[in-house]
Amino acid sequence: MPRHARGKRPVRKYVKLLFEFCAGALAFALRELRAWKQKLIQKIQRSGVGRMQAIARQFDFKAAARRHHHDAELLRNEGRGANAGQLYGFAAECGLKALMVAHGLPTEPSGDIRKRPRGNFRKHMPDLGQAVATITLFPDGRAATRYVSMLPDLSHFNDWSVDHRYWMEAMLPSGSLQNWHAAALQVSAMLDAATADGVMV
Amino acid sequence: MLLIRDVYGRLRFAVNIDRDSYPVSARAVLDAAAKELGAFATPGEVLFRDDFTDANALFGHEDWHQTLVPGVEKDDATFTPDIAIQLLDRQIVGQDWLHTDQPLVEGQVPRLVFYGLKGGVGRSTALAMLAYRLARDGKHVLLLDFDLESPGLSGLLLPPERVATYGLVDWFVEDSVGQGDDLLRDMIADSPLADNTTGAIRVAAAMGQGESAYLAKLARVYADVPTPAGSVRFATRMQRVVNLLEKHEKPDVVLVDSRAGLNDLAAISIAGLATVTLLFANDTTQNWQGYQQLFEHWQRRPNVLRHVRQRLAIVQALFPESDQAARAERFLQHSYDLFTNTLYDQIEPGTVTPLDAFTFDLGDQNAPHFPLRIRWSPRLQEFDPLVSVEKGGIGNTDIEAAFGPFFDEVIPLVFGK
Repeated sequence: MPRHARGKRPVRKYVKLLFEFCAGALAFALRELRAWKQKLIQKIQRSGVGRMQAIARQFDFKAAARRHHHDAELLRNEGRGANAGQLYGFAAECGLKALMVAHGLPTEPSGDIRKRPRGNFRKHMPDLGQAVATITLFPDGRAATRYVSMLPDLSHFNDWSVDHRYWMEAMLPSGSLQNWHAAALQVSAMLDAATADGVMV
Repeated sequence: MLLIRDVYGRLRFAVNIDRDSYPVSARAVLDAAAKELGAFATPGEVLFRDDFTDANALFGHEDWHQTLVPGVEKDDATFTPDIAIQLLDRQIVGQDWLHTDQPLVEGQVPRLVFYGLKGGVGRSTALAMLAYRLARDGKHVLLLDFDLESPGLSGLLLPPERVATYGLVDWFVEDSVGQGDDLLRDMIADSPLADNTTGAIRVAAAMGQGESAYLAKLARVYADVPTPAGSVRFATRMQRVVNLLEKHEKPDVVLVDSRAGLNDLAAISIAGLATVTLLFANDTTQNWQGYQQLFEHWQRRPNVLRHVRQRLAIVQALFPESDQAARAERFLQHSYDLFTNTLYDQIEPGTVTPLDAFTFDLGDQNAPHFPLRIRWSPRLQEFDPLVSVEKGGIGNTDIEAAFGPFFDEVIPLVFGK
């Protein structure tokens, strides 16, 4: 074996050791930093500073559903079907989210659906519609189907997409507008019922 | 101004015009009144037409009822007047007690509902006996066991091997996925009780033969079902299956075993199905109190009251063998007091009774309060109608002794005189 090759061995070993030490120290420091940050957050929350800085409520899903639906009707009556269709999808989305929130889906201080842990409901149509259709809203069997049974046609939104806003108008499924309109009306009627029921304000 | 009582029992004012058309001062009055109600008010503002996408659906809802709020005694011993108000009761269950204006179709088959506030008053036995008597009279009798939470009619009238493939619960479960009607022909069984008669006893039981998942099905029976025409409530589905079975069977009469107690199955049977309801009762305080609660519920809604009270007849069940005269008198008096205080028109003393007034004398045998009587007999304890006389069963003589007077009263009630 050549001499220079024998001599290199210990050097390589030290480099490796040094590298491992550095990596360990870095990991340790990161861990400490994270724990410290967590403690700081908790401290702030306990002191009430976080609450004092709470953002005012911005989200009102029911009011938003009403607004989108109303404007969709205006657009549809003016022959502006492309954007009317977009708004029917948003009206349905907001109406379903209002129903979820009324039944205790946790929200952020802003009124938005809570971001973590990631749930099934921070979605657009048609995915949101599928998530809603599979759940029951009251624990009791007699009442569980009260609102969901008012929404037989959420699947009308299966060919609706939030991406339609980027599309060429000629490519939009214009024949579906009528279906989207019908399904959005069902969501609105559900909001009417839930309001009269005192389930939502 | 209207009132909506929400599903939690809280009140909210509603006005059937747009928000901007309503005087601000009047709205302030309502807001102040709602504030006064505190926890008894639904949170949120007064509701106007523009709060709803389909305001006509809400303000024209079938559940609006004129409701009488009784006057109260004030500190100076004077009374405030009764107030009539339009109230929309938003309920998850129980609204069917007030859905009484069933459209009676031409040639409607008589439907006799057997109801009791409590079980154990011989309701199902009386139903089986009447079915037998009607079959002997040559009638085609259809029995429906809607006592879904404690089914028993098929056990009383069908040997296990004769029970039909499917029960009523199967129909409800299958109907919710749009295939209930495939079951109709396999839902009805012949009772051997009518084998030697000129008529027939056909039984639609709660559960089918060899059922092994009854509770799992029962839990799904009451669901409201989504359809293209909107949400279909359980009451509508129940009326539908009765209509379908009638169309399929063409019976001369339908006897319905209703569930006991103040629940929805009973409400739909009595208010939404029956041409006559037999109210089984015994002379106990809890019995009269229960009926009083039910009758007062109707009494507060004058339109409902007018519909329902003509179709009721009370039955003194298990009429004891001893001390009959005194017991009959006591029962009659209690029944009369109940009906007079709730269902009968109140006639002020000293005024002339209008000809069309719904009011009766204590001793009027045609009055709803005048009981049909079923005699209690030790021979009927643990009675099994499928056991022949030779094997220790009960013969026609015993049946007539206990039920004869009841049959004689109830048959004209069903078929007319």
